[in-house]
Amino acid sequence: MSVAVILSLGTFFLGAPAGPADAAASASAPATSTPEVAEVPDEEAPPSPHTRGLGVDVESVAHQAAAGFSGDGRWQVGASAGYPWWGARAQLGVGHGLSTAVELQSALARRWRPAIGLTSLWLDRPRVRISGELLLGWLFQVGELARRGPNAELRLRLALRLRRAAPYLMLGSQHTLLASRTTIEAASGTTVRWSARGEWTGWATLGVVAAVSRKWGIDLAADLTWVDAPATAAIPGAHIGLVYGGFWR
Amino acid sequence: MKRSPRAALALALALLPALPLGGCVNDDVHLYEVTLRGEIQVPRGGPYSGHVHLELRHARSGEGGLAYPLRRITTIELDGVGPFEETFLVPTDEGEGLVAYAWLDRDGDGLLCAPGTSDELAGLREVDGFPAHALEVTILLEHPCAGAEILYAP
Repeated sequence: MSVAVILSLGTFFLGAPAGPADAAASASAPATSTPEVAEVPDEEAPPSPHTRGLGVDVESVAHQAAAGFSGDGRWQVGASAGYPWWGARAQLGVGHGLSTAVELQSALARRWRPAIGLTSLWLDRPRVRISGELLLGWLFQVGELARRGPNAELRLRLALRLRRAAPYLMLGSQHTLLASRTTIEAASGTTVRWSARGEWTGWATLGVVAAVSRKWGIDLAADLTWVDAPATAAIPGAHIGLVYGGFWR
Repeated sequence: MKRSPRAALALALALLPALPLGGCVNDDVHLYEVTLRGEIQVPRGGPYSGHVHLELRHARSGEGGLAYPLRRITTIELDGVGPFEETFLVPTDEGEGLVAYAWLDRDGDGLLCAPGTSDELAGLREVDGFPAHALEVTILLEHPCAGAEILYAP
């Protein structure tokens, strides 16, 4: 039974019979087309006029999510929950090889980082995508170790494109500027001094976004983050998320 | 409907100014400058030689069940017994009151009564008048090998 389950999962991600979306694509294909061509259209081919308005395209939302990049005219939103990281993200393809993003990241509701980002697709091959992303935001950390300050993150993503799944590796380098103020009250008057230190958080996520349909995807990933390295210990975690997307023009 | 990519970028960038509203100060430290004048004394005929370790401490820190006495602020080393004048920065958010504790380092090892030494004298006085920028205190070193915690009765 377990072998059957594994085989079923394998055929689902790597090569499965056509699902509902694929069936729709197959139905619109000429009768002389092979099933493979009909089910996995050329990535560069224009979307069908019947499906474009519904956000059903040759490129699934799962593949966009894995690369952190949406092509021109595409959008997607997603949310994930896990330990210790939660997140929500919206991204919008604006053309010229660029995609914008708005993201909210949280660790156990104690550490929050809202940010906006710009993603550039550096390598775009049928099976592989590499993107770079710059996020600018603000860090709020509440509790005993309260922190706040401007935050910037550089991300590098490697995403593979399988039939129904998009495995990916994301490496991030997150930097926060933590400013402190010292007020000295002397007999001669009061002086204020400012100082700052940096907080670096290294980030690695290894996961897979499974395409439920062209518009829906499920993200499963393992996270390894090292907040305020090297002064602390790295905490491994995992998350599960849902992504949904379509067209905005 | 055709929309400009620039409009989307402008919308995203427009959110940036709202982010600093949460503040950016992490450690907000308030220091109060105190010039402490006074004298370190030993009993008549007592030992005089050796450096003096002078510690400034808060009388009380913390609140409720977590309150505790004698939080250390700083330690300086004086050349010996006698008059002194030193300036300290006292963190006002971390405690109340001031206590001065001193001990005479007879053997120069930096340790109060290490094994084999039993004649290192110590003394403690609560500094009256804090907060004020100029304070005075006189400490009599008369208790051999006594730590600050033994000498202070809150």
